Amino acid sequence: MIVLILILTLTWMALQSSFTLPDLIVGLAVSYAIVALASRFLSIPFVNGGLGRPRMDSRKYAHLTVKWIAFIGFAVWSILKANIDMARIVLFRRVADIRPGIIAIPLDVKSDAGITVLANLITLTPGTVSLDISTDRRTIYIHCIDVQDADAVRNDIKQNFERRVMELLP
Amino acid sequence: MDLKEIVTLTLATIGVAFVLISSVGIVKLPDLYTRIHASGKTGTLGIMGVLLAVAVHHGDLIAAAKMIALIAFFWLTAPVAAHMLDRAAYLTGVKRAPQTVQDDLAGKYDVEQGRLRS
Repeated sequence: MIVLILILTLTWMALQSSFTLPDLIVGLAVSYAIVALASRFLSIPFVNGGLGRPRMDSRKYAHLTVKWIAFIGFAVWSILKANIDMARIVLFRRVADIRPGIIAIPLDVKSDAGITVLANLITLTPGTVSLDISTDRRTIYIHCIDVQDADAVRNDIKQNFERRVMELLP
Repeated sequence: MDLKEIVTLTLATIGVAFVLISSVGIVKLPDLYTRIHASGKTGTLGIMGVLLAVAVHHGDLIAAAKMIALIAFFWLTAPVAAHMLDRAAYLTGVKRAPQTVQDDLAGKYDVEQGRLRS
């Protein structure tokens, strides 16, 4: 907890780019308020000095870091593609020709963090917005702006997105 | 015009163009659910273009770090807003466009129990 507050304070001062006493005090106050407000929603266990998960060996850590960087690159690329796709639909498709629909997709990801990342990724990428998750967390419902083939959409999300999310946050 | 100005202008133009397309989408698309696609997605690239233009214009690391943080936060929060709007609309029974072909959600909400079946 303290570590989190100190990291936030340092970030605050770095972004203010001034390291004076008033900045330190305001930074500490803001960080304290943020952690106090958010602590209810943080499911990260405060072990390992408040930094999250317990220690892992350095080979696995390096491997995970590379995976995360690759994943962020993939996410940014998907977002760019999604925007261009969407622009094309808005500008060039006749409204009468689009076939929107709501599709149920079975979920294999179990963790809260994994489901959150997957749902955000689905919303930011081509033609799909995540709409709701079933109470037992086995199914995600997405709204798809142009359903040509529901099974193709399902496969695409399971193969491309869920597989990658699973590797990082099972 | 030096290179910095050209890059700034290009990024800002791309950003504004995507915001414009997103606005066109909101007017043109047939129902709330499809309009959320336009605002939630095209908007994000628009914001990104404008913020990167600001970063290049200032040309220092602090500004760049702030803008990249803003973009990251925007990308984290915009989908949540889209999801909440969609869900609230569905639960309150906002009509879907007549060309809608499939609805796997129909009848899955158990309103009395506050549950959603899978």
